[in-house]
Amino acid sequence: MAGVRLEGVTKRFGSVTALDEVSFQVEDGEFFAILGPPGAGKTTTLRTIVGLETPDEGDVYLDDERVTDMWPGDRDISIVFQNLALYPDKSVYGNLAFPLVQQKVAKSEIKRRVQATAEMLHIDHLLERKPGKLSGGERQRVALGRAMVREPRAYLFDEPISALDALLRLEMRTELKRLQRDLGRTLVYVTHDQVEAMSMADRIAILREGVIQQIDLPEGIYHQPVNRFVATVVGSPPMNFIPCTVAASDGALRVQHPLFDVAVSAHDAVLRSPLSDGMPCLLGIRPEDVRVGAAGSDALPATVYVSEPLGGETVVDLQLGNRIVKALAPPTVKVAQDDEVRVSLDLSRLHLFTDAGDAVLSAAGADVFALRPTAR
Amino acid sequence: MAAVEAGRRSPAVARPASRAPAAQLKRAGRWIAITVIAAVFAFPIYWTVTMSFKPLPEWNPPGKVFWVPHEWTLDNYRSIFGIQIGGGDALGDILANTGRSGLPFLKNSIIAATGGTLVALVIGIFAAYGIARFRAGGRMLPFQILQLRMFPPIAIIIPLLFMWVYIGLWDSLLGLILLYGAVTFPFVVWLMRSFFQEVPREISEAAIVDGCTQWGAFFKAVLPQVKGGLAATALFVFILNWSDFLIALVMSQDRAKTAPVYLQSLQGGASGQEYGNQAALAMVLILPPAIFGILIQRYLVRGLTFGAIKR
Amino acid sequence: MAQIVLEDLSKRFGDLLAVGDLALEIPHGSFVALLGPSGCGKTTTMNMISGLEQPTGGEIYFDGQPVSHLEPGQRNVGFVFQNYAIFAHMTVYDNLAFGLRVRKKGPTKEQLDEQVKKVADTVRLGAALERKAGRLSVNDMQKVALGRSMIVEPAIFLLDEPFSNLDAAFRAYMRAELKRIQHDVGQTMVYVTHDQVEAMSMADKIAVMNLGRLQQYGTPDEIYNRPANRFVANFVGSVLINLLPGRYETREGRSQVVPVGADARAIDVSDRRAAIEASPGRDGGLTLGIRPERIRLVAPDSSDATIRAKVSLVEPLGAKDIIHLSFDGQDVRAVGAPGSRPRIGDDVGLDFDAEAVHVIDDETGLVLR
Repeated sequence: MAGVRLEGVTKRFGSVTALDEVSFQVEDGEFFAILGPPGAGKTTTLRTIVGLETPDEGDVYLDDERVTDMWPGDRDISIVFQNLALYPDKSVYGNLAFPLVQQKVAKSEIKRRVQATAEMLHIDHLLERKPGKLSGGERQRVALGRAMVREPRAYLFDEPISALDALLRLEMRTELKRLQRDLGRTLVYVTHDQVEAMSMADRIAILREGVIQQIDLPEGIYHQPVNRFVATVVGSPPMNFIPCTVAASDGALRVQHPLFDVAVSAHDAVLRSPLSDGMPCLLGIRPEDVRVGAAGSDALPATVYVSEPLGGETVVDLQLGNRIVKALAPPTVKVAQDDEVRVSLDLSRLHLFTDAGDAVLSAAGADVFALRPTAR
Repeated sequence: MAAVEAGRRSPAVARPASRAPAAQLKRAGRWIAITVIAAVFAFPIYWTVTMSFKPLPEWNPPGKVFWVPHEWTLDNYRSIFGIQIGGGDALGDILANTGRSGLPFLKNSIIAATGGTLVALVIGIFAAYGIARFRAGGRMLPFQILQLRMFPPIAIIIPLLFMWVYIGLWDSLLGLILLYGAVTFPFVVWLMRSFFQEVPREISEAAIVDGCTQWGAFFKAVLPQVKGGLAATALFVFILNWSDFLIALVMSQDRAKTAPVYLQSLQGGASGQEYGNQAALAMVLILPPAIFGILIQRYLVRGLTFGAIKR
Repeated sequence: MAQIVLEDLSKRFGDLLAVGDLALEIPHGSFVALLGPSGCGKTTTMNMISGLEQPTGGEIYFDGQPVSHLEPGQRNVGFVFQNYAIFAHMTVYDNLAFGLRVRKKGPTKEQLDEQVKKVADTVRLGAALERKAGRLSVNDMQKVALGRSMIVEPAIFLLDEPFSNLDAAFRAYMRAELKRIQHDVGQTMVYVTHDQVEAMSMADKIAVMNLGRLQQYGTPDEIYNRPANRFVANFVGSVLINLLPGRYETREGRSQVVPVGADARAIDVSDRRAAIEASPGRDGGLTLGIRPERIRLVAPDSSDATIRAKVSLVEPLGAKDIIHLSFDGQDVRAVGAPGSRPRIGDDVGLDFDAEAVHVIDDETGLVLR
């Protein structure tokens, strides 16, 4: 068991910088997710940790041992590749036994450990089969088994369940989380699926174009994103952004929109921010924090653009001013296209961003924003 | 049937009449064309097979054509394998019992072709893996290797002849083996490169992470997956070497003379055209590749890597 | 505009039955989704409607006219595929105009201009007309593909997983846009997808298919809240439906079902009595299905609790938590608000909404009602 640490890792492929000064520390036994869109450098990060890529700058540590130049096979880390990379000519048993054979483990011991791993993953009835004769989910388990069987210091998973169909993905998600908790080993999990990252990980690192944006607990990522990119990457449907204008006077800051006006309490973050009078800015609000059909003094008029029932909830696309704002409503809210409705925003979940997308202030439950509809 | 349910749906137009007659005619025409074309290609093989079983009087009698042998005989094969014949047709005896045998030349062919194939495979496989997996030699190397095959061997055979005579490899099996290996290794590189490219890079990496060296990953994880392609490549190269005539003709005289060269020498001379013996030797030459082909047929079909990666 | 009727449509590939006796009526101007896992026959069905595949049985009618004998080009259908077919070297304008220009009687320059502009506005590409299509984002390319099919004004629009190459955020955006476009244009749209979210959110009606057979045809609300069978119940919903073994009993004249397990309270199902009593599973072959969001977390000693369970895992999703509970060795999922997150190992009571409990016969897989 071991923690994994990257220090200022930079990796270039020709003129492309895949990783730019990436640093993070994964604690021993932690479930650490790296989340980002395709091409963000997630896979390169994993390949650097396991040693299939050598960083141009920076170092990789396992616990406090520097392993930057160590041969992958000597690092005692296992990896599950996105395409699984099972050995197609070997049976399931052969696949699971392979890492142990390489380590010259005694035959009887190999047998025992393969059997134990296979039972844990419920594939012990498949040991004689070749990978080609397995279903997608079964192959998945074989790949996990091959990674688990030699009880490495850390696991690296590269989008291991993204190719499975939706139902299986739901099942594997909880199973993986359970498995990691039971094994108690360090797991670095790369994914582009925010639901996987949010639901499984202890902490999440958001990666974009080779640069770490934020490393935080799932709640932190969700409720206090450092920028617009992070805010968009997590949450489904993603956060709404409403363009507004800053009005600053006498140290007080207000955010103006044709339909409403938000007063921002004097707050260190605001005072330190580059926002000044007349500048454009963005208000961010998550769909579940937009209430449809609200009454009250701070309700705003909106028109239903489209209503998308999902069964357990309904996504309502609202025309608010000249923007579409998505709201997540309980299924009891029944609205039809072009209905005129009133909506309210949960101010304790409001976010303020600069026009460039840097977060200035997230309410995160606090009472820092006050909204007043503009009188007509 | 739709009309019965007219209350439910009302399809006003009936289903169009069957186009069957026209389609059947088209089908028949297609089969006739295929049969005719196939017959044109199959005829030489048919002629060789039947000829090899014909006694001498049926080989090429003036003004007559024997479409099938009237008197089946194995004498031609006995002659090729140097088996003495007693009795039987007098003229055939004269030709058959000359003490000649094709066996030494068949042996030479087997050694030269197999040896050349092994040389080409060993060099070619490593070159191909290096190119496919590590882009060894840069983008142009594969093309440069292929270029070796772009000019006819005859163009360099004379200088090679002098070289081989000078270093004492002329008319030796080793000399032929080296030449066969050199001439066919570009094919190995090109064929194996494409097979290696189909093996996901992650498979060799998985083996490395599992504790293999680079060599170990190649032999234990990658090579087993291309064994089908390897078999196909080996067969292809073996056939090229096995059927070589030109190089063996120039590069051997006596000790290293191969069966195809011997086949040619059965022609002409005092005995005239030895069609029957030639056909028998030709049959012997056709058989090995045909048998190997059938044996490794299942490997010739690609798709062994199926299941290795998610799709 | 057109109405599509599939009459006992079948397609065999050798021994394999890809589609079996599919009967479906797709009304004028409606948005119908064919939903199912890969290999369920949805794409084959789509291909038969478009004419790329010939049915081996049954017939297809457009507005009452059989069309099986027509070539794809004669059917007046528009396609949008997963891999957008666009001309990368042409401008957006030329891409959109292409379908009209290749016609024998091409439109005048003015007509062309007008139509291209109209379609470009519909697919929200009005500002990008002069840009090279190959330079656009993947997302905009898919809009170009959509526009290209729309401009020839096909009677029927067929879309085969058009969004599966798009990123999640844009997929959510396009979902709303497509629904709106379909509403505005009013064409008949048939949409093939394996993504239940897409089907649920956009379609007027959903045909759920599995193994070549139609499982259920209904509105999203019906599919979600009144599934016809176990497959449908399990396939839709972004959090897996709970399926627990149950037993049937009558007490004091009331029919009730009880989840099998320690200390469970009965659920009254008198309204479905006849169906349950007639089913083969009434004596021990029933499964109770309940959606996670229809389970309320209550105190473990509450009299409302249908069952009591231990929290085993919490998956935070931001807007909500998925709470996994262990009940008699089974995994039960409930949805919780992120504010009141229970701790792992806590005992909680689970109150099942009786109305939302589906009684499924194990043998037939049908939901009894």
